Amino acid sequence: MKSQSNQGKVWMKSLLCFLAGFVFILPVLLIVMNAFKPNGEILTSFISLPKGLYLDNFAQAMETMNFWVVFKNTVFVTICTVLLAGSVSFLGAYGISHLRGKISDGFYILFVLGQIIPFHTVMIPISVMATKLHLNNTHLGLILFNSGFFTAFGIMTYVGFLKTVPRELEEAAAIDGAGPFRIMMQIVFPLVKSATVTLGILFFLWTWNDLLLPNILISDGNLRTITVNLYMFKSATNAQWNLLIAGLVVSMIPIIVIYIAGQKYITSGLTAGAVK
Amino acid sequence: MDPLPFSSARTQKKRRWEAFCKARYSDREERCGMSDFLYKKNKKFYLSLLFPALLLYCAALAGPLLIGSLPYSFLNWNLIKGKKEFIGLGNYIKLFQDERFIHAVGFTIMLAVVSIILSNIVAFAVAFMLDRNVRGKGVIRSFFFIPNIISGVMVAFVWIFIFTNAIPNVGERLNLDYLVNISWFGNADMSMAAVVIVTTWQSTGFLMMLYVAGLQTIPRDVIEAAMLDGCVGLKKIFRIQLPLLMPTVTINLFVSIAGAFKSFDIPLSLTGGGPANSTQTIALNIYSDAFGAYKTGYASAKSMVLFLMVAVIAFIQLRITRKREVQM
Amino acid sequence: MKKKVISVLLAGLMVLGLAGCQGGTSEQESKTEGSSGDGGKTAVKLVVWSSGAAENFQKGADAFNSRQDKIDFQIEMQTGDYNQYLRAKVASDDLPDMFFLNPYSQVQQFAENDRILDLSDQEFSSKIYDSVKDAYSYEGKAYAYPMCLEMLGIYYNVDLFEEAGITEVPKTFAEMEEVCRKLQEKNITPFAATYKDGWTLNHLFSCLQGNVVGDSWVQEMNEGTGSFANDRSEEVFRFLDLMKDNSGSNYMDADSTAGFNAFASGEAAMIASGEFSLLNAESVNPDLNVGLFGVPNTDDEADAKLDVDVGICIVVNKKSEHLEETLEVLNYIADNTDAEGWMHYSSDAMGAAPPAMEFEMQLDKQYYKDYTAYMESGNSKPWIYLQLPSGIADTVGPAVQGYFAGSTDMAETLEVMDVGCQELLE
Repeated sequence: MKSQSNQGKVWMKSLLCFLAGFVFILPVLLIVMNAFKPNGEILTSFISLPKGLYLDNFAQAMETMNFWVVFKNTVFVTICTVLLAGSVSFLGAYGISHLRGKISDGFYILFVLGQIIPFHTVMIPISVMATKLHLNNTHLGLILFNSGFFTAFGIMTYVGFLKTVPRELEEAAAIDGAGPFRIMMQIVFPLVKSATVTLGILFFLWTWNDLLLPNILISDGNLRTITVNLYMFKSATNAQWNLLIAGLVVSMIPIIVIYIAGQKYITSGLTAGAVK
Repeated sequence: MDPLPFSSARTQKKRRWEAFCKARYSDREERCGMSDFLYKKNKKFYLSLLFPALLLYCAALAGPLLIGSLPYSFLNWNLIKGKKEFIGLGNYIKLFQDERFIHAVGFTIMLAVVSIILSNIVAFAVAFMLDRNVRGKGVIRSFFFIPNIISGVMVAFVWIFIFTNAIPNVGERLNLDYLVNISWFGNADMSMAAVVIVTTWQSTGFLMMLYVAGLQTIPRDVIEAAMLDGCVGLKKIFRIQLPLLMPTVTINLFVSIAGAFKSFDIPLSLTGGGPANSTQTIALNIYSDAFGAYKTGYASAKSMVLFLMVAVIAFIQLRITRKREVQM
Repeated sequence: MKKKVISVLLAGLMVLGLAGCQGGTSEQESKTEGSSGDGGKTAVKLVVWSSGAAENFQKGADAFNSRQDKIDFQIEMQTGDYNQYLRAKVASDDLPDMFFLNPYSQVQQFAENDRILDLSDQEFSSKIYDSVKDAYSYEGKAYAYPMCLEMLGIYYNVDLFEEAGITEVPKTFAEMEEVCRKLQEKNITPFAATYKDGWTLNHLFSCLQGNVVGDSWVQEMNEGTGSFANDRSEEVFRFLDLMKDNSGSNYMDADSTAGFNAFASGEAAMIASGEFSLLNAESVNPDLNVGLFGVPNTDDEADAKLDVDVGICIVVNKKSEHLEETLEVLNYIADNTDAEGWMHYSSDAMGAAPPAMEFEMQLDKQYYKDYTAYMESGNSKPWIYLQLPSGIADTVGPAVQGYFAGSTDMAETLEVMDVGCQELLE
């Protein structure tokens, strides 16, 4: 009896949460729905359900955007950036959280303040530097600069999450004779899994959606990324909304898939009593 | 994955080491715990870990800022005209008298305060609600996160439509004349409200994600022990979970502050900074100087001022919340 | 677990290594492309800004490439902010072979800084309409090729005008008021609002201001001695008032897309804009019967000229590595005898901007005939805001917006514009 009413409660709560989420996401559903309408219909009857499943927008958008080439490029750049930024952030954060005193504080502030800088401020110096180092028009340049930006946030997050790892665990491993590198990778790294996956998703998102940096660095059409090409449908005086929406919907799919898949890893963190 | 079991053999080993340490170093002031030993032994290692991060970071961010933007801010430099002359603090003096800039600062601060408070509260509430005992958590969480994925242009496009079409429609059906006739972009106040609403909508998902990750790190046994002790409901949240969640709060508050002051995409696409530059944020103001009027030096000076302003605020915030963080 | 992590890191490093290689090869590729293109062709690159016409440019380029084997004409679209792109390229001294520029001040500044090639001896020089010579010249020489002309004026729905019993297009302010009154009588919204977007108001103001200023005004403004205000400013602002009263309700909420739509679907009878406002009409109502007349804000019929000016200038980078090939491509673009060439693809459609010289178009719309009539009788004036200091659009647009929103009056609005202009001159 008790479990039944509890089940009922759970379902009620789930339903309410689902409704709240649904209302929250209505504007997005509105956008996606319109991808299935021809341009005329989008402009005249934005809010009504599509009259039919019009798939031409997708085909046309993907062709104009040179979709598969830019998709491949973006996947490549994104994965490299995520790996590089993630590992560098973790290492840096581990160092900061284990150092003491003014050094540790100083470095923390140094990295953390990097998040304040808007991109426009450093855009020109970066493009000058990239040209000098022959990094412009290469994917490597994109990866390096993006990772540099992300380390600010990555280090901040990891330092925070590393606080939740009990020191005694590390000490115990040290007593058992494990070297510091081993402690770091074998003991601590798995314990901050939820942070790692969260950061992975965020870095993925930011690199995937990035418009300004690839725009400045990459001029070769074959090296472009997906968001850069997506904006070819928007101009100063006009926009081809049907193609823009269709392209946006398609480029959103990988991120959503990764986010839902990543949920599993974020929430299966090790929380069992480890200290005792 | 099984965590290291703490055996009695280990505890014995630890005690033996501590005794040895005390005997050996008792003449010095230093503490003699395990962590101190580890620290001394591994300090070089820890420092070396910082190296790759420093390299990337300086090359991508710190370098361009200090070697590029900072010197530019002391110049009167019009890129297209090619005129470049050193004017010392001239730009800085000018910007304190620049009405539009000051208005932008005021608006940005207002936007920051409101959206930071709103989005953090909503994000925490949602993360908390979706923590346990809910079916389909993953999907519902992604509902809240997805707005964060979409770029400013599309967000603005659909919200403009909602404000100017959908809301009047709803107002008509519900016979609420006020809603039907309201002009969202016709005056400064409503436009500001629109920017706040859309900004909060978009940033909540991101903050929620961090809170969710943070909630995972609270050991279940701590919570269970607290509940056994009679600590439930709001008391549980404020006494147990929030303090343990402080590192996440630090991150979230800081990111909200940095993001709000950098706010650019949404004001640009939603209102264009209008009407008549009333919803122009600092970033938008800098942008129009740099790329509309080609005043590189002046824009750089404003960027420096923005940076310093946010740095001070963030520093204060970090001090406060880091002190409250609990190291497990 | 450790193995997993190490292998992930190693995989990462490997991928990085590949990235380096790929980066290297693509750099090599682009270098060789630069000198010998794909399969031995010389690559000539034209950088364009994002516009609805991008696809058409590509078709034009493809047509060129299919006709010959020596040159590979590539179009590169800058999808982000074009001015940002220009800034970055100027700073790193890395401009492409050919690129778009805005007429007047941008062309002049680039010419002054010796970055673009003098094109006075090219074939097209003699064919361009006289009225737009200033837009692409500096110190009397042609420094750019004006690719297309754009026309600002009042586009009107011929059918709705007929419905309201309007038989002649208005040429004076009094006639304009009369037209609005007749439309209101039939419950037709006279003007389609676009005022949420400041740039549309900048265009409108340029048309109005052009009619009330003297010949020396532009020079005075550029020297810092002039002012937006003069004793005829009343004629500008009474037109703005007329529009405020005749644009429907909540006109500040409508942006350009909403306005263009409203006009294309027949919800409003007129729109004060450029030919680009008709681009969406293709999808909404391709049979739209649209005409065009010049903005009539004065009491003199002769003032109601059409605002026609160069929309896009193509310039040649002086430091281009393949000047000869680049000029060949430029001549292809400027060839008005070629019925299946560049002009056909980029200009021959509803809402597209026509070329700056005579060209036989297949487009059969009332507004284009009206435009041709204005051009042939010499009844056009330039877009005056283009001759003011660069960046003025960002000052004028928001200022006029303030007037429309009711937060500033005429004197205050004009003062905001003057102050803004002064700042640009520093």
